[in-house]
Parts: sequence; C-alpha cells; structure tokens
Amino acid sequence: MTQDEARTKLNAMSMALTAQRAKAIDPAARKALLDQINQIEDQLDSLAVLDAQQTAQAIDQATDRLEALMMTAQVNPFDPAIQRSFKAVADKAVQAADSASKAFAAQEFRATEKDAPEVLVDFTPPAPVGAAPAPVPAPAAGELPPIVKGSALAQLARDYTLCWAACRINPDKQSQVAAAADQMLKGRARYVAVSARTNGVPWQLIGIMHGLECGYNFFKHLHNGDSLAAPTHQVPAGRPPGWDGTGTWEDSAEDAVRLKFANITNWSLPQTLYALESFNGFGYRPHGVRSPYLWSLSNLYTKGRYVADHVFDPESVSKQVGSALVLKVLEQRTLWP
Amino acid sequence: MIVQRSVIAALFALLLGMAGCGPSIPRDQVQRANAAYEAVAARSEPVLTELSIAERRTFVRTLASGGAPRDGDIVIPPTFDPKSAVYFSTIGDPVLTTSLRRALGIVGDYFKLLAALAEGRNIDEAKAQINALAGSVAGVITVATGGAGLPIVAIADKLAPLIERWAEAKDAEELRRLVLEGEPIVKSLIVSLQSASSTMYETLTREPMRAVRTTLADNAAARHTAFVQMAESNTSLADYVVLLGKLNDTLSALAAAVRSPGSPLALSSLAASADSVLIQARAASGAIALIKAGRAP
Repeated sequence: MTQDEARTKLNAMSMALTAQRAKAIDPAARKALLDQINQIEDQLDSLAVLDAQQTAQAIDQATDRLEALMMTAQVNPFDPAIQRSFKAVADKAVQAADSASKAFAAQEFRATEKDAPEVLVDFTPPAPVGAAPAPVPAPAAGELPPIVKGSALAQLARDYTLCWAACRINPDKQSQVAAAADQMLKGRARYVAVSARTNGVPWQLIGIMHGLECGYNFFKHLHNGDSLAAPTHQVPAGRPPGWDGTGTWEDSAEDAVRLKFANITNWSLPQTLYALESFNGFGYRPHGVRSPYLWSLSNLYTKGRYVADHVFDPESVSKQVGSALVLKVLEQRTLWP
Repeated sequence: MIVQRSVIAALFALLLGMAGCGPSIPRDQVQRANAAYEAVAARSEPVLTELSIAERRTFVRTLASGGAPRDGDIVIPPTFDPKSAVYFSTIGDPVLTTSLRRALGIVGDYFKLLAALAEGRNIDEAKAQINALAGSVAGVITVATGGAGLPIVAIADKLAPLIERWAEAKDAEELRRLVLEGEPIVKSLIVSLQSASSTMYETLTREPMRAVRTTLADNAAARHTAFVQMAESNTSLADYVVLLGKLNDTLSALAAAVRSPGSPLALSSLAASADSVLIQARAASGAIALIKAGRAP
C-alpha cells in the first residue's frame, strides 16, 4: 500500500468513526470512539511528517540542478577575455625584466597543507629491486595499523589496504563528509568525460582532485587551481603547453591527469590512495602522523598539520575532509570502485 | 621595446575582439519574468510561514503520541536528537519549509541574475577590476622598462566605451545561455514545487482537521473557525500553484524571445503571461479576505 493509499484509508476510517461518535449517546462509547480516532490521527500525523521529509528530498534534488547551473554563470563579462589579455601583457613584462621576475619569484604564496617539504624523508630501507615489499604485520582487531614511513608505492601498498579497512569516519562528521561527496558528484559527468579522455583514470579520483585543487570551480586549472584565463603560473607552471585561454576545463584537466598519472593503468585501491597522498606529499609520515589530506575527520587522524611552508605544527588540527573519506562515502553508495 | 610592442599588440587584439557584436539583450522580457517571480515569492511567503509552524506542531504531536513527556500543550523529547533539532530550533525552519525556501530562493537568484545581466549591473564592478589590472600592468612595465612605461591607464580610460559595449554583448551571450540551459531545469523545479503542494496542504490542514474530528467535534462555532482556516490554506496554496504555473509560462515565453529575438509572437506572449501573473497575484489577497468574511470567493 502506498503512503497516499494509506492516508486515504486512514482518513476515511477517522471520518466514519467521527460520524459514529456524533450519533453516540453513551459517554463510555463516545470515549472509546474518541480513543480510536486519536490513534488513527496519530498515524496520519506520522505519515505527514514522513511525507514532508521525502518531499523535501525530491525538491532538494531538483534545486541542486539549478544551483549547479548557477555555479557556471559567468557574471564577470571580462572573464576570461580581457583579464586574459591584461594578464598576458603582465606576464610578458615580467619575463622581460629580471628584476620584476625576481620580485614575482620571491613572493610568498598562501600557506596551505599542500606545502609539505619538497624533500621527502624516507626512513625505511629501500626495497631490493624485484623483491617483495617488506611485510607489515596486520593490526589486532580494533587496533589501528602502524604508521609506515616511506614514499614508494611498494612500501606503502599494504599500509593503504590496512588503513582503508580500519578507517571509520568520525560519527559527528558523517554529514560533513557526505556533503563533500555530494558536492563532488555534481560534476560527475565532467569527470567521467575526462576519465574517458585519459585511458580510464578513475573519475572519482579526478573529482576529488578537482575539489582539493580548485574547490570544484570549473574556471580553474585542475593542475593547481590557477585561473583558466592563462597558462598555470604556480607549480607546475606553464601548463597546458600552448594554452591560450580559449580551451575548456576538460582540455586542461586532460593535460593535468596525463601529466600526473602517465603510464598508470592499474587503478587498485593502494594505487589510488598513493596518487592522492602524492599530491600533497609524504611529509607527514616522518612526523608519525597520517596525512590529513587522506584521513582527516576519521579515526586515523587526530592532529598535526603543516601550517606554513615547511612548518609542521603537531597540535594544529586539519578541518578539511580527507580525500579517502570521500571515496569511503562513494563506496557506501556503490559508486566506488 | 619588446614589451611595448607586446602591450600594443595585446591591446590591439583586444580592440579587434570588441569589434564583434553579440545578440541583443531582451531587457524588457527579463524584467517581466523577474516581476513574475516576485509575484510568486510574495504569495508563497505567508504560506511558508504557516507551513513552518504546522511542520513543527505535527512533529511535536508525533512525539507526544510516541510517549514523550508532556504537560498540557508542552511536549519535550525524552532524549535530545540532533536530527530533530530543526523542529524545535528558533533558528531556521523544519525540513520541508527549508527545502521550499531554498528552492524558491535559488529560482529567485536565477531570475535576479538574468536581470543583472540584462541591465549590465555587473559591468561597473568588472570595469573597476579592469582599471585595477591596467594599473598593475602599468606598474610592472614601468619596472621592466626602467621607468619608460606606457600610459596603460589612460589607454584603458579611452577604451572604456568600447569595453562597455563589448561587455554588454558578452552579458547578452551569457544571458542567452542561462535562459536556454536553465529553461528545462527551472521548469522541472517548478513542477516539483507544484507537486509538493499536496504535502504542504496535508501538513497545513493536519492540525485543524484533527481538531474537528476530536477536540472541536462538539463545538460548532470552533469547528467552523477550523474549516475557515483550512479553506484559507486551500486558497493560498491554490493561488501559489497557479502562480507557479504562470511563472512557468513566462519562462517559456522568455526562452522563446531569446530563441527568436524580436519575434512579435514571442514578445506579445511574454507580455500577456507576465501581466496575467501580476493581475492574478493582486486578486489573490482579495479572495482570502472574502473567505474570512464568510463568503465564497
């Protein structure tokens, strides 16, 4: 029976009992009928609350589509053409003058967790060529896996598998992580399109990367969040090659994905998590901390983050959603792998 | 000198780019569509205020029927459930009202954005950015050339009228895109809003309907008051749904005008649909007054 049918039936019953009660004279019979009517009305109240909640979800979905369109609105008529032209002039001027170039090069960019030390510290002995990676003992039930130091996939593959199995999203952050996944899924069609152009790099990975690098803004290079109006100027600078600002987000994204993931065809879970951690660097591991870039808001991360270039604060707590957690949500929704 | 040639070349390219002209901006049509939205928004506001109250009261009754502690009309949950906070908080609205307000708000943002583009309200701000950029470029070139910079800012000022015309054309292009891409999306949302009216009606009439069957069953005067309340809800919702339909028609006419600029059919259709929305919105408040006075509208 549908909710509408149940409501219709309950209303009919309540009306019939109300009419019966109006004719009844015996106080006891009237009270018994009133109790029955109230029980039916209680069910109708519950149905109304449930129906309101379901209707709200349907409206939210329809609203999300319009909101997604609004996000693409080009409200600045000078973007990208005129700004691109002026920026191109500025870039050429900067290139022509050493002093100006040095001034630009010396600029301190905004400190983010992305600014991990460039030189990775690897405390684990290198694995012999062709040898199997050193085994990592599996943690006991309920325990978290040990933090493995290193920066090679061969060293970290088992660690990723164990962490994935042990990962639990903090209960009070479930909705925040789900919201991050929802936000990513708004661009799903565009990530799938880039995936198709890059020999099947997972669209989920491209979407997560888009959130981390660009805040899901489709007017920015997937490489590093620079404006699409000109080639990238932050590292990696000058991408895509020959970019004149007229290409689409997908064009630049294809270049970014090919640059970062050349020659990778087997997108296993460890490979995917390794790719995600590599964006931000492996500099957390020497501090005995799992990367918040992957695990923030889960049981695998408590505190410790880079608060500026090369400055690690062991007490600072990341509030971003760990990228592995978004994958966890997608897995729950059967959208991953 | 290389830098100066680059600058001149870039500005020249800019001028050439500006020489192109885009589609004309259907200002009147957009303003009429925006006004039609305003009529819907104005009509929906009192309905949503009532709905918010009704949602809370219905939820509280479900708690009471589930055995929650109560003293007269005061019902408190036995334990605090964060998921139910929206039904008790003095901030915001319960779930359905929240979703409806958000949906109508975004539809409003959409039409306001179209109006802003049609009226070129975004151009002044953008021009200020261009002037700032011109200043930055001039500064960089002054450094690069050892003080022999080009008068970029002065050039930018002289280009201002051309830039403005070019920006208007870009706005028209963007407006056209948003109307054509937005038409099916907004229409789908309008259909969802219309469908939701059944649930809104059920929620709005739940309490008075329950009362006429129980606590007010033996009080003819009070029963009549409850029926008047339900009749008001019915009329308010009916107006709201009809106005949504008219907004839908207005959007169709706007999209037709954008597809075929200057088409007399598109323009007259748009004017008729927008005007009818405004006229009917004005008539709606009179109908409620008639119900309160005990007469059929």
